[in-house]
Amino acid sequence: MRILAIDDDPVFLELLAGMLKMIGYGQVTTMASGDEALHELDFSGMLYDCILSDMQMPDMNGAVLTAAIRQRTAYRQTPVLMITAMSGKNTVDDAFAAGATDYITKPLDIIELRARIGMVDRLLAERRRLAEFARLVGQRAAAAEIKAEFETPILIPGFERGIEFLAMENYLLTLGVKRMYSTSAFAIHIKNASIIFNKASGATYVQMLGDVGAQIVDALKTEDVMISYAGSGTFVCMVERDPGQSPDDLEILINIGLMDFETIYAADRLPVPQVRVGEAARSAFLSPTKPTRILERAIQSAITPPEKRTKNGQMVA
Amino acid sequence: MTTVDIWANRRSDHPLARAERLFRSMAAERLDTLSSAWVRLDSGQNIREAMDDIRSVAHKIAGTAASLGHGNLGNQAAEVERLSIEGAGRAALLKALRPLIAGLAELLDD
Repeated sequence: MRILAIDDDPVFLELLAGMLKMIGYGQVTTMASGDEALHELDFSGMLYDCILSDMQMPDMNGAVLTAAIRQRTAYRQTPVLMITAMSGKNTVDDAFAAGATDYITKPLDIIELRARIGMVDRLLAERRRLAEFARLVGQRAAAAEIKAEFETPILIPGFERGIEFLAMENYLLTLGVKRMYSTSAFAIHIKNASIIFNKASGATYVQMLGDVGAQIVDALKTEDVMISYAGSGTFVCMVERDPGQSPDDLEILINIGLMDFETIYAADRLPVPQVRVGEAARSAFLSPTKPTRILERAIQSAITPPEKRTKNGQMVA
Repeated sequence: MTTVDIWANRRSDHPLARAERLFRSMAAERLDTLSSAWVRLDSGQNIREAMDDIRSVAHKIAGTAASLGHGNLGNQAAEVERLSIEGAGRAALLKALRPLIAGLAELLDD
């Protein structure tokens, strides 16, 4: 795995390179600033598999650097991990919003480093496997492969506001107790996703997901929300405050927006996607659970018709 | 296996040996920066600049020292960084700086 590491402290860069070597990753290039890193990405001719960047740097911080990296087509999906002191964990929010995949805390712990980089390695291996499959058996068979993985969360090409589902889960794990309780998640489920999936090509299906994502962004009317595609035709949104719109209002707005695409879908003999918006899920004060549980509850609410939900959005047993 | 366990043997061909050498070679420069900032802070001159210097150096030491086996130095630097970020008073910062400066000086004596 080719790794690009960025930090303004040369000691930290040596330390990081040394530790990565100890756990089996010897191909590490180091840069002292965001500007140098972007120059390296643009002109070195090297394609890096993973980028590790310090969050707090004097001229260009990690969040700004991440946003700039994501603007480069070749690095749209490359795992970007932020490195931050425990005292700077709150600033990681900006990096996640800019497209970071995960974070590692300073001082470095070799067990944590191995776990985080191992996760990146597995992610890259899975992407390589899919790419190789598509190359070997052609587009038609590749579409069949996508069909087999309807449930897989993907990063939708062209949907700039979307972040990886894994990144959203990682973000939730960074929140302290206080912010955890002020954060809520709600999901938007495409009711006829499986029908469209079965009728359309893989590319058309992904295009449909992009259409729905764009309508969600339009209907929410706020920048202050994280959006991710969780697979199985379901998007998850996360906000720190109350969403400000009722699920019913949001659902109507999105569905009206999608009707504008009716002729396009008709040309492909496909139904227009129709969504259902679930109730917002929050962490309960008296029954603490793992942070990512609110995502599961939000998704469960969206895939469950309202008549089968309880008043608090939970599914009737 | 922790970093400290791994680093215990301190062989010159160890993957962390270069980082350790660089950490020690930069200790003098960092000691100078902190000492100079300490004087400015103590005399009340260019306090903002002194605080920036202190925070920057403390942040760097806090991020690396413990991983290289200098746990105390790392804790002292983290405390100085925390006080700098929280805007603690001069007296508290000067007090926290003393052991950090002493620790860096000891490193140079090794």
